[in-house]
Amino acid sequence: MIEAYLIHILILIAIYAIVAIALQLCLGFSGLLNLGHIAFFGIGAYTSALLLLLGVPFIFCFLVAGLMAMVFGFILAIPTHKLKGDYLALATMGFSFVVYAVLLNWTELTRGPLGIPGIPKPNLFGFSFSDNFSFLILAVVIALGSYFIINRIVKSGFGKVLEGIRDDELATRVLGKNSFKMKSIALGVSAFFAGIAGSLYASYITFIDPSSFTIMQLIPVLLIVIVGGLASLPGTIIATFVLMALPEALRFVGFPSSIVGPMRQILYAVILLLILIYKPKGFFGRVEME
Amino acid sequence: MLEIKNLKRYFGGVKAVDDCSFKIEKGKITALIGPNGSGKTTVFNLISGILKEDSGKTLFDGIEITHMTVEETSNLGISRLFQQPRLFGNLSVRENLIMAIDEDNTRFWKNLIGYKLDREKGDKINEIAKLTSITAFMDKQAKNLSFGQKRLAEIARALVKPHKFLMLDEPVAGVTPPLRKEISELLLKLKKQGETILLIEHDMNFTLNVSDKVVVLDSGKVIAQGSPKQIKTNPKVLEAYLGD
Ligand SMILES: Nc1ncnc2c1ncn2[C@@H]1O[C@H](COP(=O)(O)OP(=O)(O)OP(=O)(O)O)[C@@H](O)[C@H]1O
Ligand SMILES: [Mg+2]
Repeated sequence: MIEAYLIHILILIAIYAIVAIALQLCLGFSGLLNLGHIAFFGIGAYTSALLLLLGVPFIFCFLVAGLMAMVFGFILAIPTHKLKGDYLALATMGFSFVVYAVLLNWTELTRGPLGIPGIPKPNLFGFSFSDNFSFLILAVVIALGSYFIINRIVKSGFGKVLEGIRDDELATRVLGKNSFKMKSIALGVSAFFAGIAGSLYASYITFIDPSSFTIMQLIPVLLIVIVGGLASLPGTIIATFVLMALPEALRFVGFPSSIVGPMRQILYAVILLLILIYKPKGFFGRVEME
Repeated sequence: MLEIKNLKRYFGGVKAVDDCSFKIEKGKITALIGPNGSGKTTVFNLISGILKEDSGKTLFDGIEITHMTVEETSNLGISRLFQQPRLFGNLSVRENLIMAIDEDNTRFWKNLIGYKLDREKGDKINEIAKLTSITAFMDKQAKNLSFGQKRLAEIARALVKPHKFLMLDEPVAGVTPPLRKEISELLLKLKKQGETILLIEHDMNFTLNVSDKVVVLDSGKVIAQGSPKQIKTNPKVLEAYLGD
C-alpha cells in the first residue's frame, strides 16, 4: 500500500521535474518569466491524448505532443519578443488563459469541461507500461534524458548567450547575437519538454480536463524553480522532490485529505514568502531574482 | 572606413543630433568630444542601430548600414563599449570574453552536439587579457568586480569581439588617474596594431594626447573638426567648453 503510494508520488515527481527544468531554461537561464508554461504542458497532454485515442502509437503521440507545444512556443515568441519582466509575464499569462479557454470551449475536439477519459497507457515496441512500476521507470528515463539535454544546452556556449540575454539583452545584441532567435529557441525547446511531460501526464492519469492546465497549476512549478534557485538544474531537481513530498508528508502525520488540499496551498504560499525574504537566490541559485 | 552623412535625430524638441557629418579613417584614432548632452552617445547609438535616425545616412566600408539592426551592424565588424558598464554580471569575465569571440554560439544543433572553441580564439583571449591586465580576475563573477576592473574587462570584451572598427564611449570616465594612464597607453598600443577607433571623451587633455583627429559636437552639431592642435586653439571650441 505504502509502496504503491510511493511509486505514485515518484511518477509525479519525475513528470514535474521535466516541467520544472523546462521552465528553468526559460526563467533561470534566459530571464523569461513565462507564465504560459502550463499551457504548453496542456497542449502536450491534449495532443497526445487525442492522438492516442485515434490509435496512433505512443511514441508518435509523445513526440508530436512535444513538437506541437514547441510550435506554440515559437509562435508565442513572436509577439512577446520585445517585452520584458512584468509585461512579458502578463502577456504569457494571457496566452495561458487563451489556451485554457480554447480547451474549455472547443468542445467538438476537447469535450470541454467533461474532459477526456480513458486515455491509453503508453505502449512501446509491444511492451505496455500499464502497471505503475514500469510507468515509473519510463518516466524516470524520460526525465533523465530531458535533464541530460537541457543540461547540455545550458553548459554550452549557446546557454551562455541565453544567460547574456538574461543579464543584459542589448549588450548581447551589440555582440552580434540575434536575441530574438535565441529567445525563440529557448521558448520552443522549453515548450517541447513541457509538452512531452504533458503527454506522460495524460497517459499516467488517463483523464485530463482543462482545469489541470490553469495558472494555478503553474504555481507549484514556479515555486520549485524559485526555491531550487534560478539557473541551477540540480537545485531544481532537489526542490521538486522536497516540494512534492512535503504536502504528502502532512498526510502521513495524520491530516485528513480534506485538509491536505488547502494546506498544500498555504504551505506553498508560506515557503514562497520565506524564500523571497531570506533566500532570494533560492537554495542553489547563482542568480538573484529581480 | 565609416562615414556619417547629415545624420539627424530629435527627441521631442531636443535636437540630440542635428545634421552631423564626418568621416573616420582607417587605422586612426578619431575623438568625438563635446560638452554634456551634446549628442555624442546618440551618435554612437545611431551607428550601432540602437536608435533610428530621423534622416541621414551611415556608411561602413562603403556599405550603407543606416537601416540595419543592432546585430547586423555588429556582425559587419563594429564593436563598442558603452558609457555605463554592461558586462554580463552573473558570468565570469572569461565567459564574457568567450561569448564575444565565439561566433558559433548561437547555433543550436552545433552546440547541442558540442564543439571546442578554436585554439586561436583561446590564445586571442589570453593575449587580450594580458594586454588589458585582467588576467588576475578572469574567473571572477563580473558583478563582483570593482568599477575600474569592470571597465578593463569590458574593453577586453569589445576587443576580442571580431571587428574592424571599435567605438569607445568614455573609457576612462570615473577611473583612477593611474588606470586612466594605463588605458591611454593601451589605446596607443592598439593604434600601433592597426585598430581604427572612435573615442568619446570629456577630458580634453586625454583626448588630444591620443587622437589623430578630433570632431567637436555642440548641441548636436559638428562645430569643428581637425587635428588636436587645430582644435586646441579653435575659438569656437573654447567657447563651447568655457560656456559649458
Ligand atoms: N533616449 C532618449 N530619450 C530622450 N532624450 C534623449 C535620449 N537619449 C538622449 N537624449 C537627449 O539627447 C541629448 C544628447 O544626449 P547624449 O547622451 O547623446 O549626450 P552626450 O554627448 O553623450 O552626453 P554625456 O557627455 O553626458 O554622455 C541630451 O539632451 C539627452 O537628454
Ligand atoms: Mg554620453
